[in-house]
Amino acid sequence: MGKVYYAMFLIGEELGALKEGTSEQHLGVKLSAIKYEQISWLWRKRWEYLHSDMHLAGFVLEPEFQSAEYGQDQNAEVMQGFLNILEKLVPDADDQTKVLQQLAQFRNQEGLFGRPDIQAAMRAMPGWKFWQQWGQQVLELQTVGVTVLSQCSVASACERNWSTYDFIHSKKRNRLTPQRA
Amino acid sequence: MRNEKGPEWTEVTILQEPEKGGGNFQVKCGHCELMFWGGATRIRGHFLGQVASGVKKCTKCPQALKKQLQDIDQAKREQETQKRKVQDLDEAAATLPQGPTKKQSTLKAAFGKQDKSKVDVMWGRAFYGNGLSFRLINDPHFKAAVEATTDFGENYKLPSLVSLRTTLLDKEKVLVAAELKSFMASARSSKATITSDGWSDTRNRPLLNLLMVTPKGEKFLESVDTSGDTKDADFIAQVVGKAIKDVGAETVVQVCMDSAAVCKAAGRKLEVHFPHITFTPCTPHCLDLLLEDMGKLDWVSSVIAKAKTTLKFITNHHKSLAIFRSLSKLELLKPRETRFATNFIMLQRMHEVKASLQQFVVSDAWGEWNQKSSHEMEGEEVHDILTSATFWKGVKELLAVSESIVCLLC
Repeated sequence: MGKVYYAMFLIGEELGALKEGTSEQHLGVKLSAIKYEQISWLWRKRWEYLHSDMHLAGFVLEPEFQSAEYGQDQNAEVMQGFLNILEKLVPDADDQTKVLQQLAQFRNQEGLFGRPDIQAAMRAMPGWKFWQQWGQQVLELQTVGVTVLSQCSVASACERNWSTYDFIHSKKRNRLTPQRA
Repeated sequence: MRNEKGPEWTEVTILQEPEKGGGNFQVKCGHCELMFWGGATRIRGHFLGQVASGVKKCTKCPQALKKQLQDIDQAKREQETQKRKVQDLDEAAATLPQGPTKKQSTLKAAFGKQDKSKVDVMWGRAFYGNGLSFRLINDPHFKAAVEATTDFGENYKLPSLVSLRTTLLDKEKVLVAAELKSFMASARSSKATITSDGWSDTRNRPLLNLLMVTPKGEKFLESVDTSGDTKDADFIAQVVGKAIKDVGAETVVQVCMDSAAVCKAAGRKLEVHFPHITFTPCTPHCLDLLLEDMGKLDWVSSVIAKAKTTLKFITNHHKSLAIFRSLSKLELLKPRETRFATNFIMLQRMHEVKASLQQFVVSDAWGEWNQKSSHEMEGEEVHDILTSATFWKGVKELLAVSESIVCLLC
């Protein structure tokens, strides 16, 4: 979930590099200013369209993105998105405060989160599994972490489901109404 | 020594104990009042109406009792079979000839003589004859079934066609339902996403399917035939809302659908109706739309159109295709309608085989064929495209722009 946000951010960076002609993957390609403007405008528009608080909250909670290079402490947008989701998932005000305190604990690498082996696990494990395994110290935050990060951001399961319909052979397929499926 | 008495004994009254040294009880059935001699097996035979037991069938046996006794009966029979099998094996082992080395021959070696290769050939024929997929041989369910069969022994008979499509299917349904129950329990703790997608089936009916997705797996909820309905935001919100209620609103935290405008509007409606649920547009679909947007830009569309013309020309004529294939190891890739990203994948491949393509249009074989053919004009056009530096520059730029997006998609 959090990875989508970061991936979209990387695409933006790559576009910028192409404009300057400094892209490492595509040496020698330099987009003209007009082309860059066109493309990056489309990209921004679609990104705004795709935007959901879930992506932002996912980025905040994804253990992989905690280190300073991802600049979460300066990113007001993602924190706002996280707060919106928090309000939805945890209606109780006291619990909300608890979660925020626990997030601070997590960010300051207090207790368990300061251990080098746990930090290695943060980078290696899928986010929701990490919270499930190592979130005991921060129970309320753990619940939010597992809930947000274990959601999918694609409808591809539905597409796969359609391909099952495709396999059903003609004679039976004619009898297979959606009510019976 | 007697074992503990089974439930069949509570259904009869014992009139007379057997004499010393074993034998039969005289009993009276508690339901139909029939009096007969026998032990547990004959009592069960009476209730289950087994002819082989030699007792008259009970006329007033309740269904629940019948079911219970049936299970016991089945278990006993299996026990018997097992016992017989072990006995047989022991006997067979005893009659094995002892070699001069006095080395004890293993059971496996003695029975392995039935030539494994013959059995293998028969398996092979069963596969080839029915067009079964080869990887079925690695399928865990298939393997388990074969193993269970060999464990069962030679008395095993395959289930009949009828039972396979009736009783066995019903049993499987019960098993799956039980699994789903535990799946739903885990979904309640980790929360779930409802995803939905539209599709037109082979009879061109517009369908809408709904699935529940958790990290543990996906569950198919429903497919709805939307023929004749207006698929506006209200309608979609109503269909998805019903699915959310069916699953249990507290289990669902997210709804993920295509990012089409109606879906988004439906998502907003659902967010209002269920305040704790967030709507998220489907990421790949959105990225595909981004690529489609890009495809509408003039400079992009002209590059794509040129690439398509070339591709069509080369692949539509087998002579040209044959010439191209003799020059390139890689095939050309054709784009598909539904996914715009495939256009970019097509460009990628063309860029990979750029050298072959250019060699192709200047080759003697091509020149000879093109002069004689009726589509010389088109051929010239393709020649111009493939030798044009602007075309290839455009391709390179487009690939640079789209690569990170396509990469995320695939």
